Amino acid sequence: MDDQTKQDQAPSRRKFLKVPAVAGALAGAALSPGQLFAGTQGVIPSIRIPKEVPETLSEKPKGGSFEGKGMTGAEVFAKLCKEEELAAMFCCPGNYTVINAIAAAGVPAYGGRTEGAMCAAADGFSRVTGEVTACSGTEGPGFTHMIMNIAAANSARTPLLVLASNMQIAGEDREQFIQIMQQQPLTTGIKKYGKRIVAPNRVYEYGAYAFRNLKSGVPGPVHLDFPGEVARARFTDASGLTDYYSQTKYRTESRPHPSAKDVALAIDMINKAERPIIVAGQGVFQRGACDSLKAAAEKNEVAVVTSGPMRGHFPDDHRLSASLSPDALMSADLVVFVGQYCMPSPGEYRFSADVKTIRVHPEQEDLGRNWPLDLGIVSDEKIFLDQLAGGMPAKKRDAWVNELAAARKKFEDTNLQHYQLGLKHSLATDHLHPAVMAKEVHDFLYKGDIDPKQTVTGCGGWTSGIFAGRWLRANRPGQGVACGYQFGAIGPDLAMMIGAGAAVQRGVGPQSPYKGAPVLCVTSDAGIAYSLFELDTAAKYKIPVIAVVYNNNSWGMWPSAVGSARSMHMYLFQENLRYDKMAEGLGARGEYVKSVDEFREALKRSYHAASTEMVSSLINVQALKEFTSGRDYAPGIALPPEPGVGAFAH
Amino acid sequence: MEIVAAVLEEYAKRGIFRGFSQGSPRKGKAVFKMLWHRGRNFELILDTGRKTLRFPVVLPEVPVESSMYEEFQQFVDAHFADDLPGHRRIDKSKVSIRCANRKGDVSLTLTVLDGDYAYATRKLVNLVHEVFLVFLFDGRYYDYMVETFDLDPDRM
Repeated sequence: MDDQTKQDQAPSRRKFLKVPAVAGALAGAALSPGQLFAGTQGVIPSIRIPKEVPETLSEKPKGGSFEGKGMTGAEVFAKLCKEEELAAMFCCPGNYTVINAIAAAGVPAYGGRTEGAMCAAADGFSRVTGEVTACSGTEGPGFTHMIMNIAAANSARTPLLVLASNMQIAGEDREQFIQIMQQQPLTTGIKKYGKRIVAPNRVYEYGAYAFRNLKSGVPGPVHLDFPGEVARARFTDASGLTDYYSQTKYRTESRPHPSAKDVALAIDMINKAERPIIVAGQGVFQRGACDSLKAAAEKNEVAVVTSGPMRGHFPDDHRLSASLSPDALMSADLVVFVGQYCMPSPGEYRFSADVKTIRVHPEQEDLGRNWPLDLGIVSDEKIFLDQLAGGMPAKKRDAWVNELAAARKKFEDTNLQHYQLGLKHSLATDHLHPAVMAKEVHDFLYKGDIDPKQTVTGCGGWTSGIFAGRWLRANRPGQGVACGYQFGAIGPDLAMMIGAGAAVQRGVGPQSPYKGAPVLCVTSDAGIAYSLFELDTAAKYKIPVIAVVYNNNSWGMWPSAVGSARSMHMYLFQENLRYDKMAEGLGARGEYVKSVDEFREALKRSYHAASTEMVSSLINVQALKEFTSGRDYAPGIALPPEPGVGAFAH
Repeated sequence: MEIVAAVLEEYAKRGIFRGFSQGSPRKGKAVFKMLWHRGRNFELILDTGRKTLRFPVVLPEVPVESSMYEEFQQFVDAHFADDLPGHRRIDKSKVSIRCANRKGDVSLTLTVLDGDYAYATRKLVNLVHEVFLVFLFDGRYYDYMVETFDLDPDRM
C-alpha cells in the first residue's frame, strides 16, 4: 500500500463531513441504540453536535423562587451567583443540583471533558477579563482532578470560585457508598478562603463569604463544597436563611486610599529619578487601572514593563513600554511596583543592584515581603495611579525614551538572529525549529491583514512557551495569557485558552471590541496531553481556537537526563505522533506541518475556518527534541528576561 | 576597608545578598562572604595593599578553551565601551578588571586606580549581578545552567 492509498483510507474530518445525509438522518438522541447501530453499517457517521446543545443553550433563564415548593439550597446559592454577576461557570457533571441551578439562573455555563481542564478554562476566562468565574466537579474524583489547576489559579491570584459536591453530612466517617473524602484540607495553601457548608440555612451566608473574598483585596480561589443536605434543602421564604441581605451590606466597594504624604514622597522620588520604571502587575488589570497607568506614565515619561498572568495592561507597542526592552531594565534607577501580587526577590528581576524601590499594594502586610523597599504605600492601584497622574509634573525624558527604543531594537534584532539560525536548522533537518514557529505566528498575527490588537494569545510548554513568549505581543488589555505563570503547570494551556475564547466569544469586558474573534494557543506535545480532549468542548460551544502544538517527541526537560544512566526513556514519547489526527477525531481541523511554507498556509486556513465557521484547528508542528539544546542547534533555549514579554515566574 | 564593608552591607540590607558576613581583617586583607545568585556562596577578597577586589569564583566549570569563556571576557570588556550610556559604563580611568580561569573557575579581579573604593565595589557587584541576570540568560548557556546549577523548572 503506497502512502497515497494509506492517506485515502485514513479517517479524516473531511470524510466525516462528507456523509451529512446519513448523519442527518440519525437524529442522535431520538434514536434507540439499535436504530443507531443499523444506521451506521457500512458508513462512518459524522461528528455532530447533539440538538439538545443549541436547544438548551437558547432556553430562557429560570431561577429558583420561594413560591410553591420553594428554593433549594443550590438555587439560593445560584441566585447569589447571578446577582454577583458570576461571569461564567466551567464544569463536568457532578455537583448536579448546584451546577444545574447556576446554569438555570442564567450564568453562562460550559460543560467539558475533564474537571481539571474546566478549572483551567475558568481561570483563562478570568485572566482575559478580570471577572470572577467558577469551576465545578463531582466530589472525590472530579474535585481531585482539579487540584493542579486550582493551584495554578492560586499562583495567578485568579478570582476563581471552586465548587464541588461532597456527599452527605449523614454519611460522614462511614464511607457510605463512594467518593467520600475531606476536600478542604486538600486545598490548604492553594486558596484564599474555603468552607464545607454543613448548615443548610447558612448557604447564602457562606456564598456571601465567598464573594466578599473573591471581590475584595488581592484575589484568589475560593473553595466551597456542598453536602447533599445543603444543596437539596428547601426554603419557602427568606426567614430560614441566615444573613440574607444584599451585597451592599455584606461587602464594600471602598478601596484603600494612599496618604497624601506617601503620594508626595513617591512623586518626589519619581521626579528626581532619571530613569524611572513602573512594573505594572496584574492588579492594574484586575482593578481596571489601565487608563490611569497610561496617563501617569505618559505625563512624566515613566517607562512601564508589565508582569503577571495576563498581558497587555500596558501596550507592548507603546513607546514607553519596556516589556520588549530587557537591556534597559538594568538602567532603571527607580522601580515602582504597582499591582504586583506575586513578588519576586532581588535577583529574579533584571534590575540593577542599586535600584531604589517603591511598592504600591492594597494590603499592608505584604509590603516589604521578598523585596526590601525604600517606600511602601498601601493603596488601591487605580486610586494611586490616578493621584500620580494628577500630581506629577509633566516631564520629558528623551534620553530614557531613546534608551528604551534602542534596547527594544536590540531585543528584536536578537530574536531575528535566532529566527535566522532556526530557519537554517529547519531547512537542514526538514523539521520546524521553535524560533521559526514563533516568528511565523508573530508575523501572521501582527504583520498581515489581521488587526494586531485582535487576537488573544497564550502560550505554554517549556521549549515552545519560551520561544513563543519572545514573539507574542499584547497591544491592549487582556490580549495575552501567560499560561504557566508562577505555578509552571505544563498542560492547562489549551483549556485555559478555550476559556479565554469563551470570553472573547461573548465579548466580555476588554474583549468586547473583538467579540467572536479566534484565539490562538501555542503549546507543546507534552502539554497537549492534558487538554486535547477539550477541542470537543470548543467544538460543542463553537469557540474558535487555533492550537499550535510544537511536537518535539519529548518532555522539554529531556536535557536533564543526558549523562544519567537508564533515564532518557522517561523523557521521550513515541516519535511523530499525530496530534492533528487526534484533533480531527474530536471534531476540530487538523494540520500537519514540517516547513515554513506549510506552516504559513496552515495558519491562514485555520484562521479562516475559525473566523468564518467557528471551527477550531490544531496545527501539529513537527520538530526535533535536539532543537532545545544550543550545543546541537544554536541558539537553544534562552530563558526569558523578567519582567517583560515571555516572563512567567513573577 | 570600612567603605567596602559599608557598601556591601548596604546591598545585604537591600536584599541583593540573602546572607552576608565579613571575616576578620588581616594584613590589609578582608574576606566578605555573601549568599547570592542561584543560592550560591560567593567570596569577595579585598586586598588594600594591591588595591584589588577579587571574586575568585564567579562561574565554576567553564573550560578555559571554550567559546563560553571567550564570550564571558567579551561581556566584561563591553562594560568599558565608549558607546554605553554613562550610567552603565565602567570608567576605565577609575578601575580595571581582569578575568582569569583557573581549572574552570572563572574569577574577576578589579583594581582600584583612583582610590574610589565605593565606586569600585558597586561596579564589581553590579557586573557579577549582570553575569547572572544577563550573560547567562541571553547567551547560549541553558545547558551550562542545567549541568552546573541543576537548573530545571522546579529550581529557576
